[in-house]
Amino acid sequence: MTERRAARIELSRVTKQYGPVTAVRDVSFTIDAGSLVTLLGPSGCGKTTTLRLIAGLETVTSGRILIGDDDVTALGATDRNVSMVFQSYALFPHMSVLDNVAYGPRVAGRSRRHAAEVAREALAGVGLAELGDRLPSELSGGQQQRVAIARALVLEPRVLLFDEPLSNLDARLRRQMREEIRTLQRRLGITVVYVTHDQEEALGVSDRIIVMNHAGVAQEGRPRELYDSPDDVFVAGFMGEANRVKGVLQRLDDRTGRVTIGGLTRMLPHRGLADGAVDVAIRPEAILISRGDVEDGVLRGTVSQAAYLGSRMEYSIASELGELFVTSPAVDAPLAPGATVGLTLAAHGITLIRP
Amino acid sequence: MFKGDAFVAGAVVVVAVLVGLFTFYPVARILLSAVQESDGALSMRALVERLFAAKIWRLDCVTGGRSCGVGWNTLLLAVLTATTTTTLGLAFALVVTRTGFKAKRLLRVLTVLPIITPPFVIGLGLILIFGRSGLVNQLMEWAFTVAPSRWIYGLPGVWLAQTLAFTPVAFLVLIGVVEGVSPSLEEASQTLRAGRWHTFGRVSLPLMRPGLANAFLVGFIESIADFGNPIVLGGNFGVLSTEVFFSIVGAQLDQGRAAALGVLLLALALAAFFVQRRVVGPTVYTTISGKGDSGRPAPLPPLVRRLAFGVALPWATLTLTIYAMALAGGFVETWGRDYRPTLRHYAKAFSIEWGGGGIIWSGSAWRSFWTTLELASIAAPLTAALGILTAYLLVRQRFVGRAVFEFATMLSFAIPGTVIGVSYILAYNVPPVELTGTALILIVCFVFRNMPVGLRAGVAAMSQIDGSLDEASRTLGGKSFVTLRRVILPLLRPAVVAALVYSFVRAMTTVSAVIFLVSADYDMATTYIIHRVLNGDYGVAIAYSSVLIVLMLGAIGLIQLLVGERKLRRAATAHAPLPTGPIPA
Repeated sequence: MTERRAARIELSRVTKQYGPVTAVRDVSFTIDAGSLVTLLGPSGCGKTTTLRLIAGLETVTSGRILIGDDDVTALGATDRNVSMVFQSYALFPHMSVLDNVAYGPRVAGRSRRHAAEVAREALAGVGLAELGDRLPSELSGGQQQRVAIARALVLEPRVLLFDEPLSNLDARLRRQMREEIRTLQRRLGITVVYVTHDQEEALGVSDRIIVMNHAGVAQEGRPRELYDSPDDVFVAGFMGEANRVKGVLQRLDDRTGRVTIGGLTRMLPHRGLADGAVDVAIRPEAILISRGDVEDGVLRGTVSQAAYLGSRMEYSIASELGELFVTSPAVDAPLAPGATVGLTLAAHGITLIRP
Repeated sequence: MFKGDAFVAGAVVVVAVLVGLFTFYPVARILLSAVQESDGALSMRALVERLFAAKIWRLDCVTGGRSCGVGWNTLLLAVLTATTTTTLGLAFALVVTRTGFKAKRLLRVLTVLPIITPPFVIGLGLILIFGRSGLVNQLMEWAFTVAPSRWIYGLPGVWLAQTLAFTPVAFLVLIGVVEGVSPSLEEASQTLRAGRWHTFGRVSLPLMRPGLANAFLVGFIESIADFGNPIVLGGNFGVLSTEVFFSIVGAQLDQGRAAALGVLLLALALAAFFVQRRVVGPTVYTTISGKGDSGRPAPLPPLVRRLAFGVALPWATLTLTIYAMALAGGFVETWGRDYRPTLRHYAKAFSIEWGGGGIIWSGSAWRSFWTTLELASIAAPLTAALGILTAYLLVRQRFVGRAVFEFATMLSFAIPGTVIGVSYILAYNVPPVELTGTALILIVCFVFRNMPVGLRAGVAAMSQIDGSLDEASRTLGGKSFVTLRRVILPLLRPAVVAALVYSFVRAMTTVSAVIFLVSADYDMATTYIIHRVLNGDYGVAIAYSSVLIVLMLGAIGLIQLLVGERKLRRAATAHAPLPTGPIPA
């Protein structure tokens, strides 16, 4: 194989408009060479359009896109040295698996023999060496996914794009394919941009996550940063569940402050917010339940709903902070609706958010 | 704006120029001619006089006395035909989809007949049954000594013929509509304790309303554009399409009048077309969603069921009888007088002799037959190619002026054949493009008359093909032309075949436009037959029509065979939703 040069991707003030609708508004970010970055967001947030802009399947209305050191803004998909794995896989149904994978090299003008050779190599790379003669419709979903990846990789692109690659697979296979994609990306050291609406998938696969909302970037960071310190209500709610409650902030130094939530007090990074009323996001697993008599300094609550979910319990608990959503690993001692409980806060999973 | 793709840009320009030159330029010429005096001077008065001439709009038939103007005739006929075809089409659609009727396939076959039938065959069949010396009149005369009547020549006959000819079209429109009514809505109605009758009247029928309106307008457009049936059966009952013909080929030879009548016909057709677009266009009430919609359609209320059967079955029988008569008519001496079996007519039309130099095609029909076959064979691939290419541009490409482009191609669907015929004469009789009397004008006419068929087949099929396949090809380095050739065309094979078959068959069977364009050197089968009919030479006309119908069936079968049913099916199922199950262990 020839040398594979992973490329960095830079979007600078990119906007895409369809008539009066703005699909992507003034988006800028940089993706490091050789990293796996997900674009995460709800449907209609512009993540797929952003991916298609990187692929060259759409043309920017304004802004610039760089791949490596090259400005590719004006280039079409055909000329970008970027490959894409489609949500539907987009395997050509009238061609055999091998012909599908050999399509890129054939179109690029390689000989039939050479194209078949590299295609076979690529298929072997995804563990499908024996299935070259089948039609795509004769493969299972996971196998089709691998063919799509092999077809995308055979041209040794500088950037590989995935558009919701796992959405057509069932839950078990999804985790397996996710791991395979990650392993492959590490082994080949290529830059991967990956679109998904599933935050767990994003947390599990990425070096970095770019959360998008309303055609723009809501927050960007490593998975842990996004989960632990979401910037705003949207990111807090989208990266897992979160209770949003009112608190009062009193700044202590240039980093931390004292936050009073109901009767509870915590030291938290104040994130530049001013003293006074603030919004606090609390993860459902960060609220700890104690049963029996309620001591001082503990929040009092009443279980209003309880659900058993196998690995955990989910409760709705009425408290003076409002209705709280709480999860608890204590499935062996479930609480019944109506039970009175005390609530305290865990060390992690609580953050101030910008309103 | 073409994303730097020379192929797409070139294709758009080529298609636009061709459609402009061979559809819009002639139409512009006919508009111009309509406002020209015979000496060539422009005059709005000439247009107004021609458009509102008493011959077109007089109402004598209401007050008694002579016949009404051709304008009223055309409208009356169109409304009558559209009403009956819609009613019958609905009855057939209900029988096929909502009852346990067994012979559904037979009814489906009936829908193929109008496609492969030259448009006047129904008229001929009707003459053989109801004509002056037809079976019914003879029976009446023999049994009750009733004098033979001529009622079939005129409005009743043309109406009957058009209803027979266009009911299958309405059926095709309505079967989609009836099937499109979601069973779950009907089930919802039933769970709300509505009876069958209530469900049908309050839920099913209102959901079908836009479809019914569409079927009505389709029948209307077909009727005003029809030329074959009125010319065979019309008698003194003139309509616009035949009137256009007689004013340009008859003793009158008045191009201005022909043009004005053509403009009027065009205006009617376009008006109906725009109304149809409005009806079908934005209000999508039919309930076709991507999601699988299971459930069983509600059974029809007994009364509706009996009504549907009572209408549909006798009608199907009548249609088949007429075809049987039309076929049988070629094998008897003289219909109505002498029913001895004979092959005389076939011999006259298709005799072959062995002469000094080999085969001599001595039958009178051979010349037009070979010409038709040759021109249709040349036109079919061109038609399919242009249609599919246009479909590709419309469905898969975005370019400046795409909306105008789409509108123009859609508009060319709506122009009646007679109008095209006249406008071609007006446009190409003189430089810069002088084509009349050549084979080329016939081929061009076929290609641009029938291109919409290829276009529709292409658009329908291409909309089924996921756009991500094109995009996959593009990200893999395939330019537009490569993508079209290697990905889209192979997947479109069924549509390509359909377009080829239809354009071939329609080129073989069309009358309305080509009757203006044939010449001594290039006579067509259909026009030859029409002239035999007009001369009262029914035997040869019927024999020739039968040969054409059999030939069409053969051609369709052969092409199906050549392309290979298996491959078609494989490609067709391949873009079904991809299986999403786990890997089998």
